[in-house]
Amino acid sequence: MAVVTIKNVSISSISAIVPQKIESNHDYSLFSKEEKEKFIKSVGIEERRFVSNAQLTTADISIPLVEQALEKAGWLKDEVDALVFVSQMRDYILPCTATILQHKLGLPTSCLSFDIPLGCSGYVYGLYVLSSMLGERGVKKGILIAGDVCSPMLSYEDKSTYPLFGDASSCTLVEYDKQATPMLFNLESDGSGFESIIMRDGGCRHPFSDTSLISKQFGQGIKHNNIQIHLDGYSIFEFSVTKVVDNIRDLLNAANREINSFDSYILHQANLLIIKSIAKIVRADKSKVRLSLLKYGNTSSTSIPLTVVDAAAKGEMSGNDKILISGFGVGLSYASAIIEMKNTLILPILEYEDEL
Amino acid sequence: MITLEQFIESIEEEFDELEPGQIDANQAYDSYLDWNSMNTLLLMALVRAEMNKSVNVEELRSCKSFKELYDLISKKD
Repeated sequence: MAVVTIKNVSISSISAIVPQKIESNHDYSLFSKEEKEKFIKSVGIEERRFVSNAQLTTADISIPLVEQALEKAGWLKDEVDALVFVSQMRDYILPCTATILQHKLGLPTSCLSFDIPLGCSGYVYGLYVLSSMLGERGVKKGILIAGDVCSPMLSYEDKSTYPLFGDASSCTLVEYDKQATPMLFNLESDGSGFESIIMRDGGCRHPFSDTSLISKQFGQGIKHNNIQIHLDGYSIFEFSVTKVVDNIRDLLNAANREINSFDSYILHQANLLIIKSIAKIVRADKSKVRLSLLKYGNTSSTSIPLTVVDAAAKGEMSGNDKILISGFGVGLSYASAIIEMKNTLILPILEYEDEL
Repeated sequence: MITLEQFIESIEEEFDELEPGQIDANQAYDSYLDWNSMNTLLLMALVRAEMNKSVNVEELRSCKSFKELYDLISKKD
């Protein structure tokens, strides 16, 4: 897809929620002391948040977040025309979770709602899809939820996934605004790498069966079953420093923008090695590359809004920043965007009060 | 393109378990580091950052020494 421009849409607010329970990599028993130190330093993840109750879903933790976002923005529920739920961790195979949320949130039945089952690229994709529906007629106000509560789908015996991922969700409110600075998007796909990150069973290709729960060894320290997340770190690294870099460069070229013309860069928080490598190759100013993965890990489609919220809380960003965002991973799917925020309300991070 | 000496220096700098001047580029590189997934990824990132070239796991494993690896990367476009 060519680089596309979205006009007359502003981001009214960005917020994020994490569960209270901290899962620390200092406590991860499969790592030796040296491995722990090296992992935290190089991969950049010290701890994550996990739901304490595996019955809790992405939708569950998103409800109080959306309620809070609507209240702070002064939006009435009846004004909401669209709800997009970006998640790989839907409540059911069918129906989609967005419609369940429309009801649980008390949004009007006139609100259109659907899921987008994307992961790490999902925030940018979701923002594009929702924003492209907004116009003078029809959809004026929309809610984008991007979240993944994935901890129940991780294998503790898999060093390549367990210490990386964390649970979180986010809420972004967008509205039709004639004064808004246009946003630019570059969205791409490369399905040749579909097996790089995969949960093999439970879909229609490989329905859940009596073999789905059998754990298999895939390498030293990598053991999981077929309904747990499998990740090939090497191919994701290679993809990130080639395809994702090109995607960002193409966006900058089409927009006629210099890499140093931004206040903040928010790259998907895959791991520190990937973030540092991309930033170095595209020559992004290191001091403007925002990081939240030390405390929250890789939170899939939530990582971009969560990093915005975290950076704002640290005083590194404001709701008037010019930002370059890039999400990439499972699919393989990748997308970047240039956004000039204006009076975007960035709310403090919310903690989901589940039972500890 | 960095020299072999610079390549070795950056490896010694990257890995905390290595001392400056410790590596003999012709020695088997298994003798210096355990090539677990994290170290392999660190080396891939280093090659990308310092030499702007890519090296995959199979290529890394096909080499015996840092000199061999450097030569393989140098031949790439």
